Amino acid sequence: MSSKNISYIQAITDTMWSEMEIDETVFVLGQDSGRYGGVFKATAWRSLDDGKPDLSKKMYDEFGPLRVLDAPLAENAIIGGAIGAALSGYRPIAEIQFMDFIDCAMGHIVNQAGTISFKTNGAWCCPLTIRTPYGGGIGGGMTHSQSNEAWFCHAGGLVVTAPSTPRDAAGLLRSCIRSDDPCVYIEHKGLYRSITGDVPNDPNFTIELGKGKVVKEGTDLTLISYGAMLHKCLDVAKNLEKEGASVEVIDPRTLWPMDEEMMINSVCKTGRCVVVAESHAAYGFTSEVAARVQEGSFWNLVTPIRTIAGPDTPFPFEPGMEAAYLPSEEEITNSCKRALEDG
Amino acid sequence: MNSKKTNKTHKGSFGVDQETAFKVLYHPLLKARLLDERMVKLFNQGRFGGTYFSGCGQEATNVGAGVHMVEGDILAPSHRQLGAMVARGITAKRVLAQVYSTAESPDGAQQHPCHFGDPELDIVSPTGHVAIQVVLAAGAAYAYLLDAYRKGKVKLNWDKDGIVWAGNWTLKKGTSLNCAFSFFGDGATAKGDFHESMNFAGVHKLPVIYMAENNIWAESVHVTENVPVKRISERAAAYGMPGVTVDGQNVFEVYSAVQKAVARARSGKGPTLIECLTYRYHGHSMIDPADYRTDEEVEKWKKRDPLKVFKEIAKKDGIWSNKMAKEIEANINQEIEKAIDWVEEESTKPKPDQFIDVTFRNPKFNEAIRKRWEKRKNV
Repeated sequence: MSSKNISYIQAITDTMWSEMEIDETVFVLGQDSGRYGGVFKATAWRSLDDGKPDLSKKMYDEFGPLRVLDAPLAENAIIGGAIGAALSGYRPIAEIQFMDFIDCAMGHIVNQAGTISFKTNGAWCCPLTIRTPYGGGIGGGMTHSQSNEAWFCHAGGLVVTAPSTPRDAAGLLRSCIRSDDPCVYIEHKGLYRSITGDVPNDPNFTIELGKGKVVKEGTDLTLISYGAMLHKCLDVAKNLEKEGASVEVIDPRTLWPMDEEMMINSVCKTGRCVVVAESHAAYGFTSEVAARVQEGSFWNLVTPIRTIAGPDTPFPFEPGMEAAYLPSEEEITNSCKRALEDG
Repeated sequence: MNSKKTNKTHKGSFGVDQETAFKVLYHPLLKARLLDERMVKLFNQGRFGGTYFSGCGQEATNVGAGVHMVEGDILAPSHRQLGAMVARGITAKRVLAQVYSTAESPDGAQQHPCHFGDPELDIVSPTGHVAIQVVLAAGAAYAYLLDAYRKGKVKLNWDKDGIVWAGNWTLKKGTSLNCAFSFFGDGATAKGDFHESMNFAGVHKLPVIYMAENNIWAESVHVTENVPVKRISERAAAYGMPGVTVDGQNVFEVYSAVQKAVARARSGKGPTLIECLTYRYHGHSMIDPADYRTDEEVEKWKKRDPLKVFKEIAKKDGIWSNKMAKEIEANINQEIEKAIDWVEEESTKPKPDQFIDVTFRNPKFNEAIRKRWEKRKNV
C-alpha cells in the first residue's frame, strides 16, 4: 500500500475527511470548526498527493455546514448534543477547542457517554469521538496547555487515545470514529506541525485501540511515554545507545484501557523502567503505569521504577517556567542513567 | 348529552372526542397513577431497595406529552416520567423489572429505581444531573434534522452574502421530522445545561419539545429560589422560541399545547418550551418527608388532582362514561396485579451480575477489567 508523508494535524484532517466520505453518519461539530476550519485548522483542508494541504476548499465547503457544524460557544451543547446524535444513529466527532475547556462538559462525558452501554445493559452504544488538543510547550499558559487525560481514564467506560505520530494519529482516529465505545482522542498540539510521517493511503487503515507499540527495541531499560514526551524519550534512547545502553521505548498509544501486558513483558525483560509524562504526577499516567508494571514485574526488577511527570500545580506561562515545568531530555537521561547504574 | 351516540361524536372543549379521551388520555393517566401508588406501597413494604421517586400528581403533564410520541422520537426524561413512559406504551412489567432490579430489567439492573430508561422505546435512562438530558434531546433533534438533510428534504437559506445559514432552513413539503421530548423540573432551569440546550435548539430551529414541570419544589428549594421570573415559559423568549404556561393538572390542556408544539417542530419550525404547573404529592424521593411545605398546600393541589380534573371536564363536555372508566380501571388493575406476581417471582431468581461485560462494547476491554477485578480476590 502506498503512503503519503504528512504532518500530524494533516493526518487528523485527512482521516476525518475520508471517514465522512465513506460514512454519511459521520459529522463534525465544534467551536469555529466550520467556516474557519478550526482554530488549529484541523477541520480545514485535506492533503494533495504531495502531502500539502489543498487550499482550494475546506471540509465545510465539501460536506456542507450541517455536517461541519459551527456549534454555539457551549461545550455542554457540543458534547451533550453529540451524545444525543450518537444515540440517534450518528457517529459525531466533537471538537473541544482546547482540552482545558473540556471540564465544562464533564457531566455529559462521564455520567452520560461513559454509561450508555452500561445502563442499557449493552442494548445501546455511544459511538462518539471527542477530539481535543492538549499539552504544553507552545506558550499557551494556564488554560491552553493542560494534559487532563487522567480524568477520563479514571471515569470508567471511556476509551482514551493519545497518538504520537501521524501514522498513529490516522489509524487511531479512524478506529475511534468506527468504535461503538465513546472515545476521547487527544492531540498533542505541540506535534501538530512539528513532525511529519508516512501514513498509508488506505481508507480503511486502522490501529487497534488498546494496543501499545514497541517504538524502539532494547534490552537494558524500558522507557514508557506518549505524545510530545515520547519524542523526547526517543531522542534520549538514541543518545544512550551511543553510550552503550540498549533502551526499549514503548508508546501505549491508547491510555485507557491500557496495554499493560506489553509494558510488563518489556520490563520483565529489561528489569528497569522509567515512565514519563507531562501530565500531573498525582493520580496520573506515570503513577498508574508504575503501579501496574510493578505488580507484574516485581521479581524481575533490578531497580525501582522511576516516574517523571508534570508538577502538581497549574500550568505556568513564562517561557522559562514553562520549560522548567515540562520534563526535559536532561531529566529523562539522568533518570535512565541512574536506573542503568543499578543491578 | 344523553345518548351514547352523542357522546361518541361530541368533541369536548379541547377538541378531544370520547374515544380519544378515554383510550389515549384516561387510560395512561390512570395506569400511571395506579402503578405509581402500588410502587410507593411496595417500596414501603421493603419489596425493593434504593429509593423511589413518585410522580403522583404529575401524571397529566406527562401523559399529555407522552401520547404525542411516535416511533423514532427520543424521550429524554428526568426521574418522574412514569406518566410519559406509560403514555408512550411501556408495560407495567418493564417498569417493575427495573424497580425490582431483576434480570429482565431494561437497564440490566444497573440503575436505581426511577432512573428509568427503555432502549426499545427510545427512552434514555437519566443521569443524576437534572439537566443533562435536556442537552441530549437537542442533539437527538439535530440528528433528526440531519436525517432529513441526507434525504435532500432540507433547504438551507443562506444570507445575501452566502455566508450564514444557521436557523434559516426550510423543510420540503410533505416532510415530517422526528421530535425529541425532554422533561425537566423547575430546578433544572437554573442549570447551564438548560440554557445551552435551549440556545442550541433555538439557533438551529431544532425539533425539541421542552417540557418544564414546574412542581414548585426542587427537592426542598422553592421555585422562587431557582427562577427569578414569574413564569419559566418567559425564558423561551431569550432563545427565539415560543413559551407557554399550561395547567399541568389538566391533561386536555397539556395535550393540546403539546399537539401544537409537535406540529410546529415536525414541520421544521422549531422548538417550544411548555411550562406545566403541577405538583408532586410525595417527597422528592421516598426518603424525603417533604417537611418544607405545608399540609394545606398539598391538600390544595390534591383538590386539582389530574384524575379529578379529567372527570370534571369530561362531564362538563358530556364525554364522561362511568362504564368506560370502570372497564379501564379493571384492565389496568389486572395488568398491574399480573405484573407484580411476575416480578415477585422474577426477583427470587438469580440477580443479574454482568456489570463488567456491558461497560464497553469492545469485549477485550471488559475482559481486561474483569481480569483485574478477579485478581482482587487473591491480592
